[in-house]
Amino acid sequence: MKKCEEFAPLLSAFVDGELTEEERAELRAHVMECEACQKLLGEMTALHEAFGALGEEEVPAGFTEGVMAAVRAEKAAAKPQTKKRSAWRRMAPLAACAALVLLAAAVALPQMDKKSVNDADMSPACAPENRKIYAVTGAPSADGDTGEDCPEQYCEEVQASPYYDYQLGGAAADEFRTANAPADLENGSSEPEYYCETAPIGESGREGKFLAADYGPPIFELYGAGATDYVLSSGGVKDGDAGFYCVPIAALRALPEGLGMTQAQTETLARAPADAEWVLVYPNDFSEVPQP
Amino acid sequence: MNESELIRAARGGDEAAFEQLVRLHEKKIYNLCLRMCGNAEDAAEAAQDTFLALWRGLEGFREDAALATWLYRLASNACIDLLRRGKRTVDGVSLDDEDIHLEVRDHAPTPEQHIEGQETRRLLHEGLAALPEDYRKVLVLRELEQLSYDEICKVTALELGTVKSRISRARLMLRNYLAASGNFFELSASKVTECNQTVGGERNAK
Repeated sequence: MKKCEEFAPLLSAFVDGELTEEERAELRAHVMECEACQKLLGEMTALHEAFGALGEEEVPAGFTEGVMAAVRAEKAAAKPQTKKRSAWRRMAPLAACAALVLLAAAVALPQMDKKSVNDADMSPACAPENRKIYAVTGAPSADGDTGEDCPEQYCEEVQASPYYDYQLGGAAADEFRTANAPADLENGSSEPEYYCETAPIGESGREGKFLAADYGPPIFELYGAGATDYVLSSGGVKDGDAGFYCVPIAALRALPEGLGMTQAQTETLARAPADAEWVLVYPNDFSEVPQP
Repeated sequence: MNESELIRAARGGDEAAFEQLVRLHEKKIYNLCLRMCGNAEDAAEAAQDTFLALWRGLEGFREDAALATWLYRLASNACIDLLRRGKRTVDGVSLDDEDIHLEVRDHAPTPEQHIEGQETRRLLHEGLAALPEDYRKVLVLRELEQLSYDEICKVTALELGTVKSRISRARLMLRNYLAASGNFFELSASKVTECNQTVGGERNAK
């Protein structure tokens, strides 16, 4: 004769309507005689019905757009690599920054003004009269002069996609990362080799020193950026394809209150070579800003 | 376009078709991830990983297979990958131990918390989060995605007997967790009593 615990799978399958007639008869005979199994059946049924009342949550706003941005980034990243250290160049068409990069704070950051630009030692090359802007800088030119005028068309709002978690490389660099990363690599918290690589910034064709890692480009996620309120100027991002843009590392080191990076990213930044000037950034509009 | 046509178009690189596929399935997949991961942030990440995996794998997708079944499998894997990769825990409960050690926190409800629906949902979420991944997976597929045992076998590539016993064991663990946590079955007491006679009653046999 079966013990009570052997009836548990039958009780469970009964709740799901998955018993054969024969099993059902066997269970019925036992349960009619067994108070403990009656109680257990009642509890399993109560559980089953409680789950039924849970309902479904809505998908977060921007989710589909985030998936599609990731897909496009992956397509762009799928081109074969010719040399290891140029992985980040796959990002260049996506993240190709124009001669000027603008970072603008979210509506939630109305307190930011040009003062923070100065605090971050940025050069306010062409700040439109817009209180959202907190950091403005010109890309480094050959002679180091960053104070060049900014064409009006570069100052556009873009719709970024909030759920694409790039961390260090993200999906766009997955293929490369898988092939090159140490087995225990985790969101940049291990210790890859960081180095600088000179690369064109935006459509101007001028070059700047980009922070890179031995398995791909460090891509930082900026929490609290408020994707739809973020303003940036980037020839490559104008079409909203991927939501990447380039920022001067100096700006990341002087983030205003309300914007944050993960601990892993902060650590990465701390290990960046001293002469790195630019980094790829992906905005993230999580409302709760994890402070580094 | 129907789903098969969308899949064919997406396989040919049609992003609009793929986006339609995403929209068709995203709610189910997101909710599966939400129950598996226990929070919206990880769920969104896992759900996105799921659709990226779909995009990458479209080439190899057999047209006679059900897309939903495949997506459930991708989503389950994405959630477990995410949880293990970051050694994350669901609501602070360790998932590393395959043995069943369910730590029960103090759930003594305040009078205000005694709102039945809310309290029941809260307890269920916590209990679910406390289950080992393999058990949570089958229970979520059964209770929240409402898949049949046969469908769960296809999604998980497990034998029917394993699916049956895991669902049963998951329910027992959850029941123990909830019983120890205090008032879940008091809130559901009427259901427990009502069900005492249902074995011979109206439930459909298979």
